Amino acid sequence: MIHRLINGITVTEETLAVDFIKENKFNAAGILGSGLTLDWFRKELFVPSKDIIGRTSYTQYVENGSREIFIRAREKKGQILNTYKAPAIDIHTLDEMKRILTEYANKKGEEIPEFIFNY
Amino acid sequence: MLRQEDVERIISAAYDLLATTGVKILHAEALQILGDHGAAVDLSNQVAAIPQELIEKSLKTVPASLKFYNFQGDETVRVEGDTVNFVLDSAPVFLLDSETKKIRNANTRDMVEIIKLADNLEHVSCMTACVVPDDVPISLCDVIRFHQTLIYSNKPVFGGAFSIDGLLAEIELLSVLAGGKAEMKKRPRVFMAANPSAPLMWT
Repeated sequence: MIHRLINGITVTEETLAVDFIKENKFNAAGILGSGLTLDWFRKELFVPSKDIIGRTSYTQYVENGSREIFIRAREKKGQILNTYKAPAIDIHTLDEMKRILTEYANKKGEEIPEFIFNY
Repeated sequence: MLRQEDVERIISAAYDLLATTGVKILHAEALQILGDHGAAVDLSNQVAAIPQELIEKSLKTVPASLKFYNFQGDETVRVEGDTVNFVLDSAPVFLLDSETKKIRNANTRDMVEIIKLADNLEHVSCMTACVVPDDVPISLCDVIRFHQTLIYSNKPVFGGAFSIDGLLAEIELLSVLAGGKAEMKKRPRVFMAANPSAPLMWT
């Protein structure tokens, strides 16, 4: 991570991509779907957390149970969710918010699915 | 991370693109307003080319500092100078399911789980709805997303609306939660984003 920070963000003609944007201008798929955008996204932004990505040796990885990245990510998610505390909204306010949402839906000729209110 | 000369190159490239390529805005009134203030507007193609002077003049009207408060009423986010605040993306329609390892549509259960998760991430200072759920009517989606964000998050909210009606309903929800409009104004909790729907395009 320190090496990543020291490297900074690359600012070149290629990364600014002014000519590329001018050519593609209002073609969203052309800009967002280009190989150039994906390549630089991966190089500059895609940095998984050290808790998720393995940075140990393969031997250590096997000794620790060969837990793949999805398993480690789910475990980390579980740990974080265990400490979650919902905002303490009183029941009267929750009911008022439900009323506003329901009236808005009625105005649109729609219904709010009941699971929205399963707090 | 960025040298001053890099910052200047990025800003210069942005000025160049806004003044030459311009932005496509699918809204006649917005184009009219820009045209009245000095943008070169091509009504047939719905494109406004925005000169540097207009951008600089507009930036001078932006407040030097903005403060935002969490559910408990504490100031936790200040937007000023070079301060940096992180927020998750607000509108992905797909996600990578960690159980099946397949990409699928996001639903309300995912949204609530991600909100709860991000609420506990110390480096994420503001909350968004995080996804666009596919199991609620699309015409209600923005207001439902906002409602769920307020219900499940303690953080200041980076909100958004898909229509004027939706925006008004969201203001009503926030006002009730804050204990009235005066309280809502006293300790702002939400800022609304007007994002381009694609690079250089506003729909």
